[in-house]
Amino acid sequence: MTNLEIYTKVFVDTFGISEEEAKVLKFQDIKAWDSVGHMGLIANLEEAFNIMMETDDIIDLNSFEKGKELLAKYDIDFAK
Amino acid sequence: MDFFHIDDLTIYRSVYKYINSNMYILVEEDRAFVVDPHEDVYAISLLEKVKNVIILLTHEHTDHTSGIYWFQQKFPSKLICTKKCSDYISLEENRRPILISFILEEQDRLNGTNLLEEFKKQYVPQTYKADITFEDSLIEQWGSHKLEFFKVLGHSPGSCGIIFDNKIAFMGDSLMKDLPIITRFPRGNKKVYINETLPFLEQKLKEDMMIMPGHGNPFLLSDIMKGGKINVEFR
Repeated sequence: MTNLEIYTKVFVDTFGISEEEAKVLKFQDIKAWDSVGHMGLIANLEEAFNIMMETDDIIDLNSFEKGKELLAKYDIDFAK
Repeated sequence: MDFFHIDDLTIYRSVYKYINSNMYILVEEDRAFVVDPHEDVYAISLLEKVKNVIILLTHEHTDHTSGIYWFQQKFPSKLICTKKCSDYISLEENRRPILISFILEEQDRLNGTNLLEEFKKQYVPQTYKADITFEDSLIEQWGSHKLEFFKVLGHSPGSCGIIFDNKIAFMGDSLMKDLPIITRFPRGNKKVYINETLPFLEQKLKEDMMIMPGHGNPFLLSDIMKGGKINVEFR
C-alpha cells in the first residue's frame, strides 16, 4: 500500500466512510469526527505510520488535506 | 472549591476550570486523599497540616491526572491506580494533553479566549509510575476507613471505581448523571460497558450510595436507577 492509501484507509476505518467521502472530509463534517473521534483518528494515524505527533499538529489537523500537509513533517511521503 | 457533607465527612471538590473535571479531597487529621488531581491553590491551605497524601486515580485520561506532579512537588504522596492506568501514564506519548488542548483550542476559536496558552503554561508534562497498582480489585485501609477499588471497563482500560466506607463511590467518567458516558475514545468499549460493567455496577453499588462522578455534580445512585437498572446516556 502507498502512504496515501494507508492514510486514506485510516480515515475510512476510523469514521466508517467511503474513500470519496474521506478525501474531502473536514472536522465536524460528520458526527463521528468530533473531539472524541479526533482522538481515535490521531491514535490510528500514529499507529499506522509509527509516529508520535506534536500536540500543536494534532490540534491543527482539521481536514483530510491538512493532515497530509502535517504528516509530511514526520517524513511521510505521499508520493510513495 | 465547594464541599459536600456526607454523614460526618466533608468532601471538598474542585472543578478544573479548563475542562470541568472534578478533583475530590478528603482530609482527616494529618492525612488526606485526593481523587483525580489537578492544580488548585486552595488545596494548599486545605492540606496545610497534612503529612501524608494518597493520590487516587479513577482513570488515566489527562483531565484526571494533570495535577499529579503539582501535588507530588508539594506533599509527600503515594499514587494508587489500576495497573493499566499506571502503564499508560508511564509512557512518554501519553504525557501529551491532547484532548484538553484540542477542546481548549476549539473554545478559544469560538469564544475569543486564550485558555490554551494559559493551560500550556500551567501544565507540566510528566510520566508517572504508581506506588500501588491492582489488576481487578484492591482493599486499602485509610485510618479507620476502608477504600475498596475495583476495575470498571468501557470508558478506558485503566478505569476503576473507589468505594469509601461502603457509602461513597468515586466513579470517574464511568458513571455520571446528565452527562453521557464516553466509550468512543481509543481503547474504550461500549459493548463491554453495557454487557459487563453496568450489570456489575448494579450488583456492586447500593442505591443509597453517593456517587462522586468525574464530571458534573454528585448524586445518589437511585437518581439514575430505573426498574433496578442503571440508566445512562452514551456518546
